[in-house]
Amino acid sequence: MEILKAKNIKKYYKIKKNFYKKIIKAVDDVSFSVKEKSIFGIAGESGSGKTTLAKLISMLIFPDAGDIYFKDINLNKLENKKLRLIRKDLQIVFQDPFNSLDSRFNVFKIITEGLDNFFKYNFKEKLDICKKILKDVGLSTDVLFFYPHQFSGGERQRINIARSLVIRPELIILDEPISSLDVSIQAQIINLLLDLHKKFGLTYIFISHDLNILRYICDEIAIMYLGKIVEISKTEEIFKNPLHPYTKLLISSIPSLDKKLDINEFEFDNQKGECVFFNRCKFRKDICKNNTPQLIEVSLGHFVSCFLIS
Amino acid sequence: MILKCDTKIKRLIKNRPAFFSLLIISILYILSIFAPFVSPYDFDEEDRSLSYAPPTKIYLFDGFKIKPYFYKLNYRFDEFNRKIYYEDKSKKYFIKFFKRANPYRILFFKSDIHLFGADEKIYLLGADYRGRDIFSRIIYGSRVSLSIGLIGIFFTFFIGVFIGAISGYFGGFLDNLIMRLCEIIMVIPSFYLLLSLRSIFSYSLTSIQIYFIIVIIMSLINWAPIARVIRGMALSLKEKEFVLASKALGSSDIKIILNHIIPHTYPYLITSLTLSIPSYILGESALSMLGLGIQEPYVSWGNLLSEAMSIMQIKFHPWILFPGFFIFLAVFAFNVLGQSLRDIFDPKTY
Amino acid sequence: MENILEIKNLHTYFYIDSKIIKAVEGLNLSVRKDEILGLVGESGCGKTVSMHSVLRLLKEPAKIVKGEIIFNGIDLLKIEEKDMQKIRGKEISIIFQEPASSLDPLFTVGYQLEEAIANSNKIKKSDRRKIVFESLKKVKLDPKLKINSYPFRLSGGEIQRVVIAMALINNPKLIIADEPTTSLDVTVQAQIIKLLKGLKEGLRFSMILITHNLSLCYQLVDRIAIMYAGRLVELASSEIIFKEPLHPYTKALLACIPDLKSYREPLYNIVGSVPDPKSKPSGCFFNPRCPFKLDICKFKYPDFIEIKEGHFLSCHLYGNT
Repeated sequence: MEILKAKNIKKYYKIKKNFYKKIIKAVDDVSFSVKEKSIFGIAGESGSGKTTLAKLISMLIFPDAGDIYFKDINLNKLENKKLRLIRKDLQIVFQDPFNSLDSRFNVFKIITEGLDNFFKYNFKEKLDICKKILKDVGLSTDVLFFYPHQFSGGERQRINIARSLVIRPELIILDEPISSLDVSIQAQIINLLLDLHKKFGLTYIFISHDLNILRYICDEIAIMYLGKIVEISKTEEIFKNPLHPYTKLLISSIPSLDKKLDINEFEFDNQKGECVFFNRCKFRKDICKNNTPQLIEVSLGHFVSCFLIS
Repeated sequence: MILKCDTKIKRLIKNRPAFFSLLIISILYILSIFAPFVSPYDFDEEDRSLSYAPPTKIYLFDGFKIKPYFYKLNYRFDEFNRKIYYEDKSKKYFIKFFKRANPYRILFFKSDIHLFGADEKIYLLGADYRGRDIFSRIIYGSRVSLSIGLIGIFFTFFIGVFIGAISGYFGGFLDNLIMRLCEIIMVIPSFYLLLSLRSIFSYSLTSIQIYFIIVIIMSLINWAPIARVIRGMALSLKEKEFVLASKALGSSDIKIILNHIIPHTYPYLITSLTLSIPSYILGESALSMLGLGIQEPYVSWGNLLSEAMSIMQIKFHPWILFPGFFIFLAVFAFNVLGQSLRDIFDPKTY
Repeated sequence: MENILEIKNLHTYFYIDSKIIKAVEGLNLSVRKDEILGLVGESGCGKTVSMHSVLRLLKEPAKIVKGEIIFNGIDLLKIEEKDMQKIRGKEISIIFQEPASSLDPLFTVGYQLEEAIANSNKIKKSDRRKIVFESLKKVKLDPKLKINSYPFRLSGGEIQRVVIAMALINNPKLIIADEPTTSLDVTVQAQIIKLLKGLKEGLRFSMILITHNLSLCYQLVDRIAIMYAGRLVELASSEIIFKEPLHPYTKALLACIPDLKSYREPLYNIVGSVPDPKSKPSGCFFNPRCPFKLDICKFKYPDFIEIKEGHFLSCHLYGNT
């Protein structure tokens, strides 16, 4: 079952600069679908639009065009009250463990904030639920009334995960949840996320720039560049047989312990073409200059948007 | 929260200017709460025979003991028919502490013990033209002048913070409207606005009603700059990740504003409200001095100063300016406290 | 093999609120001529503080309490500030972590590069211009386009190239690069790595690369020094660290990286977290988290000894008692 379907989502920002208007296409015609209980990865660098996409899917900002279907319900067409109820099932964990917790709230307040919005428990019940969830995320129950500044980055991220988890969502969007953490802590959080995924049957949308992590945990990966999805496929397929030039560039750029980097630097220039990757692509042709490639399924479950392939 | 407050209080104590200004302010407020106890006389206790009596000269040592005393005042007239006071050194009058005198009531507590007094009239800071003790009148007057600041900021807080937070959080047309309104209010010279607003109300109101009208008018003027700053803070706070997270957890906008946005403005608020108290004190003083505020026989520092509007009186009886010194002291202390609070809350100075 | 820099028993402490935070506690490190040394550790291990100590960039409340830093035969901790200024930016230069805040937004790239030239007031304007041109070419930026640009016009990667140009402009003997690619995109990072590799082959300098990313070290670095809670725990050539690491912490770090793991194979979890610098454990700092700890590890800090040729280690498991 497809728990989430994004269809032709667009989010543009208009900037007025010295009398001329510039449109930034943060997310430009993005479509993908996520299967239930899977881990779907979105890879991209800065400017790719992945964080904007995360906010769009979680309905923190609204698309200018396109629809998002969560369990076949069109989120765009919902009124505020119904939308808030959907949030119970669709949660998001943010990147920065320091800014995503209110420094004036203690752990109990942080975790029960969401709980109070959807359930009516008395104080004792809330205490029990909080203690249980702290155990689930690997924190001691003693910290229930501590404040964020008393925790390390990794522990704060666990609190983040706890507060999203406590309301029993079905889908959790994770926007670079481990990027700002130390390597050993990253491993802890990833292990935790995988445990919870198995234990509670969750679906994840995991956004990251680190393809190594994505290769490690995702079932399917979508590669984003400048607001567009350029390739989607199963993880194995992406790494065995990357088709889009950007995907190839990305894979070859990631420092990894199993190979030495082999970077053939293409001196990119400022030539503009319809294809988003035009100015960095060493295979570019005339057709790429004048036409925008569409995302086409070239083999089972493998989508690419590139004229060289289709 | 406990731990965070701890360091702030520590800093407050270590910061000399803050500590002393807080001390002065506390003393002033304690004096005003216990005004009837501290003042030897009622604020309207007259003695025309001692009109414009100078401040009593107090002798500290009687022989070798510390036993403060003073002499009774007699007067004669000079060639211009002016009263000249001189001490009648025939009898010493000793200052008695915790003397029983006029009964009074502070809230539910009745007593007739005053901090100090004597068998003859003692004028610590001199007398006015009706022979009323200026010191007592200043202490009683502090009740109006000091409380008006506190009540005023209470209203300003609510109006300014909520309007500012809503304006910043929701943005759009509402934000535009509110901000333009603030700007209009801020552009009008505040003193003239005060005068015009006061003049709308009838002159023949009881002093209590006048008091509250002044408070409300001043709150209505003072909320605008605070609302603007709070609006700016709300604008930046609403983009913070914990606000987005709260939204993602299903919290309503009101809940977010009350629980996340407004509490983060407290450091600025405390500083700003402290710094706005002087404007209440000065505004009330100005109004009362001009006769538009608190009227006779009730006292406020401002209306005590209305007597001091004549150069001749000041030349011959300069002690009628003492209320001005108290206004200066209170305003100065609040300003220093406000500035120091700003430093204390700013993490970069430490 | 000549050493360009020798750090001996460096202790740098912070004195805050009547507490002593021992950020660097007995660091012994040497950098050879023309090598890239990777200084690896997690946050709070003291790598940045130790490098700032080398350049004496620290201010109150930090203090270099003990130690020697021998550069080219001179102990940097004993010379006057004005002599230190002749070394900073000229013999030893540093590349900081955040490219965005490394350049002054008010001045053009060309101006800032000229400013960085040693004794710039003694060189003719035209010669200075030439030097700036050359330095921009070295980092693969088009001088004609970039020399009059302001920093806000450049991307993160380009700014970092300018910073590298600045670091190289006086032909230093040693460059300290503090996490130079952490805040950059992956593809840009790859370009910077390639640039650094190319420069290293063409020019002759030594480099200390501070990073927490072991995969990055694998691409660029000759020797790796692993730091934990203010001291070195292992130092060896890159090959040995990756193929035959000895210290439990090094092994744990390598096991945390998903690079070599297969799909969802559980990552190694190091129990606990990095110690609070205010209260480090007695004995070996890593002992509370070490799966192989012996009794002696709780009492005595293991000496940092050359256990095999070129392989230094501080661990009781290998007979360092």
